[in-house]
Amino acid sequence: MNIYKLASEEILKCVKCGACRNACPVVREVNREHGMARGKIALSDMVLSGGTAISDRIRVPIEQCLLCRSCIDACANSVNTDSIMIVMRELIAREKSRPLHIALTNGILASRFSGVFFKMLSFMQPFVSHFLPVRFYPPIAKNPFIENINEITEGHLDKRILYYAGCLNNFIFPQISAAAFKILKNTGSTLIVPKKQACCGLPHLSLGDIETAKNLALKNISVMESFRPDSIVVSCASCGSMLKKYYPLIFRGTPHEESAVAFSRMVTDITEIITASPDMPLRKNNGYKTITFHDPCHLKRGMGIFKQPRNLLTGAGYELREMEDSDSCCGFGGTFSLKYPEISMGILSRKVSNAESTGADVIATSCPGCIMQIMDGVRRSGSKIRIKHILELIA
Amino acid sequence: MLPKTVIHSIGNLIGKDKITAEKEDLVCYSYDAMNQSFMPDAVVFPENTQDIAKLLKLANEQGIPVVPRGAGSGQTGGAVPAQGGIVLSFEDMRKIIRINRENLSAIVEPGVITGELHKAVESLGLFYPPDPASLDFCTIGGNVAENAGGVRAVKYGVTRDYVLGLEVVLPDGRIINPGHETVKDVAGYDLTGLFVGSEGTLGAITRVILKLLPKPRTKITFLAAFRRVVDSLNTVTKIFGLGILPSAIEFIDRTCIKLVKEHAKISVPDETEALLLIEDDGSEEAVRFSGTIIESALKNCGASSIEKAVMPDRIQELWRARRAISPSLAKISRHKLNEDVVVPRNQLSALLSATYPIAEKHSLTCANFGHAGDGNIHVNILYNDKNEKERAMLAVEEIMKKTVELGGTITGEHGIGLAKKPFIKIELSDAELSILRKIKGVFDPNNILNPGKIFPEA
Repeated sequence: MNIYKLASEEILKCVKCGACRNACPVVREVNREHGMARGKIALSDMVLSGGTAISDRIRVPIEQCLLCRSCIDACANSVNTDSIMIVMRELIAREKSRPLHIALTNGILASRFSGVFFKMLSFMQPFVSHFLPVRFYPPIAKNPFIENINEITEGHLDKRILYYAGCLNNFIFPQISAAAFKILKNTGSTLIVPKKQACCGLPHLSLGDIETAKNLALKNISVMESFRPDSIVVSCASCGSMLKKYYPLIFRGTPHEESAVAFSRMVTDITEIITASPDMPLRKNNGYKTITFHDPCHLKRGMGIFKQPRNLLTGAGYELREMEDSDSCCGFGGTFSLKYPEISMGILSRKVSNAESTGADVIATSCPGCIMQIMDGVRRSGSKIRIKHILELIA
Repeated sequence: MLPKTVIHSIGNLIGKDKITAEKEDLVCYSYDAMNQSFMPDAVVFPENTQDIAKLLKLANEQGIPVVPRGAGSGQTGGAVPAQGGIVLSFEDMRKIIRINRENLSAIVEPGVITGELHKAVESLGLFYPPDPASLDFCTIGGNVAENAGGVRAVKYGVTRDYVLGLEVVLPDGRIINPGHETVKDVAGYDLTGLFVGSEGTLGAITRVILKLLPKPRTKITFLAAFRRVVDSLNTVTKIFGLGILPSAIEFIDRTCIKLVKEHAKISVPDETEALLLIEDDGSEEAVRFSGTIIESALKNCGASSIEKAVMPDRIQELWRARRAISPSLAKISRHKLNEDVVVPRNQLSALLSATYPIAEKHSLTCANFGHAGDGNIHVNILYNDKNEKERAMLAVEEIMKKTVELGGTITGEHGIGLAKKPFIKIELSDAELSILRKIKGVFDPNNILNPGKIFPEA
């Protein structure tokens, strides 16, 4: 069954009980039935089985989904709303041309010259940011991670770990990739950082550009498999869940399904690798005392990881203070945060205030998307709390 | 179809952004948890009582149906516009107005989510017991209109037992305030009680005064497996016989156990035919005492495994799995007729042993779970197509007749709505039904409020 058939099947699985209301961060902001999965599914059904044309009153609710999968967690029948939204967004993309800035960003990410573009952008950003006062984003790094690292670093063990940096941890937060590299080297395995790794394709998939996502996936699978790794490690939860969860999904019912599934089995989050090597030297507490952990949607619901980062933090001597709804979405959702800034920031302010109420010094997380978003929220609230990738605390 | 001029004049009364007649919006308000769709002509989102009064007055004058809707989580179609008209959504009336700690009471708007009220009062050391399975998303207004129950009804009763007073808008636009922030009130007939369970057919409830209790200090939870259904039911009466009234006694049959297992890790013997999920709350001392008695009753009645859960996470996991049963029945069949029959507790065994053969006679499957502690069992007849539905209706009719024969009622907490309308005569006599019709006529002579519900077509 391919993704299109799957979406129609998923619609039938919804029994309209309404349980998704409690879980959805978007409906908390918009407070209307079309904000939650049940309403979005009813609208999708109008289009997919009723043949209704996609009006703005259908497009907007379909776009107003973070793909955070909270509703799927709350749903007794695990209706995969994300698949339905992706298929609907492809229909929307076919009918309407994409706004220029988004088409451009995705074009750049998918291109093999993305490195050059990001370099150029890093010089231009101070000027561009001046005209984009709505959201604050961190600067693009002058020195991306991948270009400055050897493709293969031999280790003494007969094990090959491949590190997939992803765009954000390469171009915006190279220090996170550097920390990942340092830790992975300590495992003694041979470490591979392919120069030709491409964007994971999640930004494209979430906008319904399934074709580009598939092309990027095929490219990544073939590049990475050529190094014959034993495992593929990510430090970006979003890339991780794309590689692990969505590659098999987009190739369902196609000739590439088997290889995508085999590939996805190798993918793991770095916190899992560290947890599996208990002797690894970790940096102990470096001045901060208390930490609260934000579960990225793509880590907890995408990859099923939530205990490992907590154990690592307490193991490194930090006091962990759980915030309320630690696993609720931060409201980033990639281009969602640009397109629907009011909803995004409403969700964000809830997240930041939950984190602040713990009194922790630092919010730790493991997804650069969440970091960008929460950084903006912390800045706006004027809070003193810091936001760090977990690797910046333990590497 | 409502004429554009009507939509326009409603917009003028309550605000243009508070009404929509766009097709896409109408679709989103056409269903509830009964999962049947009826298109409204408009949806309104008033913010206050005055606007609702204006709206109802206009609708009453022009004979437009109005259907109040909380979260659309009802099981019997109570919130769907069966005859079109206007869906009155309470999404924009969701304030907890006041929690009165000294008086153990709260005043809330109808759109407040039940689970959020739980959290708010519990943070103050107070307790609002009614806990329908949909508590995380259903609303207080809907709970009052349907007189919602829940698992804690065994010990604490249902929504009716906590409604002290209301603010209600009548179809002619008058606003009445039956009841007070007091626990006693016998001035005239129990008007407040009349609205509880009225299914949106008598008035639009716009404010609710609720009774609260002090929060029990602790709780204890048991999950017990049985090889025979009858042993599990004997346990229930045995516990009552020993002078213990637990806060919840839930029964889960073999079919439903499979569904529970998907939401919680439970290890029970393969040949298990029934589970009991029993909980009691209270002071440490009281719970220790009742826990000992419940445990010995379970052992004496032949439980093949007993888990005592004390960690909050585990207790929560078990209850989450229990609440997931009803919606996850969709994994077994496309559709279900979800009943909520109640019999005197000592007749439960007779009822349950009748359901399976009745379903079998019609070549259908029946899945049973629910509130064994108060004799209220969710009998679900599963079906997949039209043909099977006809047989399912026959099976349900037989089960309801059996229920009434055993001294019970055809609905304990879901209401009649659309789903049980064809069966109401099994329970209510002509005299009773005619009194109900007259009451309806007193409040809503033009039959604009939630028409097509409760009463069978004459």
